[in-house]
Amino acid sequence: MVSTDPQIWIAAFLTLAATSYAFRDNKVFKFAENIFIGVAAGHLVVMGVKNIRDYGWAHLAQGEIIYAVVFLLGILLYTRYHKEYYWLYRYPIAFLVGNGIGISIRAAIHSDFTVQIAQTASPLIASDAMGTINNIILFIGVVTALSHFIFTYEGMHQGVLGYAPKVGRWMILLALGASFGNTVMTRFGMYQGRVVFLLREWLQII
Amino acid sequence: MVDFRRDIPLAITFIIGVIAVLDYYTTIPIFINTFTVIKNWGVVLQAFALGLGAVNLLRVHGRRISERRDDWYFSAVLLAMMFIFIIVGLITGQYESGATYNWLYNAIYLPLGSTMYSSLAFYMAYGAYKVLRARTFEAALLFTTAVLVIIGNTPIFPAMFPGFFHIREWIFGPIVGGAYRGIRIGVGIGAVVLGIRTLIGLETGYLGRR
Repeated sequence: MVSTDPQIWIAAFLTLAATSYAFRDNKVFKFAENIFIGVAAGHLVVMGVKNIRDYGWAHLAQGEIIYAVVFLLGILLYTRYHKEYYWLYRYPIAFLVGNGIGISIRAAIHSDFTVQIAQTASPLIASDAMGTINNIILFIGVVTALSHFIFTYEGMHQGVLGYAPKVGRWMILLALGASFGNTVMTRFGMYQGRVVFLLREWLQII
Repeated sequence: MVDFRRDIPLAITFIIGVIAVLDYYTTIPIFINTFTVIKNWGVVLQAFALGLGAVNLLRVHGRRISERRDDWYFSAVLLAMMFIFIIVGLITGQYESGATYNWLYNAIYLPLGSTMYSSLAFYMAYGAYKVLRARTFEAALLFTTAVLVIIGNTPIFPAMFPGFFHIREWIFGPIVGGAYRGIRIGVGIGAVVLGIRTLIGLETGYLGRR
């Protein structure tokens, strides 16, 4: 028995409309695509207003006058549409860039650098032979993949030393292939979820 | 002479970035307290920037509608849906937790979002069919692990031969782990260098070209 819930019907129609592009570009897909962009933008605006209320207005209402500055900076973002004072939008952008870079530098040093080196600098000999082989492969993978990105020393990619970046490239290709396969299967798994929705929630045949 | 169009933004970037780094590497209260405020301001400014995106959508699609360009009615649908979500989300004062908003979210945003995202699998598979040919040794490497991982992830193959599952697990252990660790260290070095260059004003692309 087919569902009578209008919410399920709308969701089912949009699922089929979004899938229709797999056959060819068509008006139904464009309709769904534009709905999605509009809805996503509307949702982000709603969440943005909520964040402004929680992280800005709430502090200002409690008497933290300094928070008035961020509202001024926020308004300055919109000066980019002004022919004469467009450059004022650089102030809030500079703030966002500084904040983003500060956070990314500390995150990169910790998680991309210190942690990765610390995890690699572990004993190669494991309790079993397979573990030892895996540790050696992993170590070779780290060193050679890293050497592939060294461009400041030309000799790194020539002669005997050139084998290391070459092996590194092979390791990277193997890893990228695995990532590709994994991504494809993850997406198919998600699509399977949509098919299950159509069959179970909408058509109610499983 | 201070150039208000260039020097002040560069100074803002430097000061904010340095405070963010010092907050992490020191225990000096002034940096910790200041960075707490900076984090909140960052969230608020990102929200204002999202509004900028909505304004841009309004300008671009508003123009398409007013000039009656091809498929202008899709632009009307886009703007209508954007305004419906904004009005429903804001008018109740409950934002995303309102009942009507939730209904719309589950009926429209959720199915479209997951279908759009997952249906890319079809194009990826088609692209792989067109491109993934083992013509060279390096292409063969890419092809081999991609196929082995796909087989290992498909329930029927490991059910027939459990070894496929173990091969997939092994690929994600030393092979992917080692290569990605090397990539991450490289990316980390690159991110720090780019960050420092931006903080000291050597990279100024974010200021625009005008």
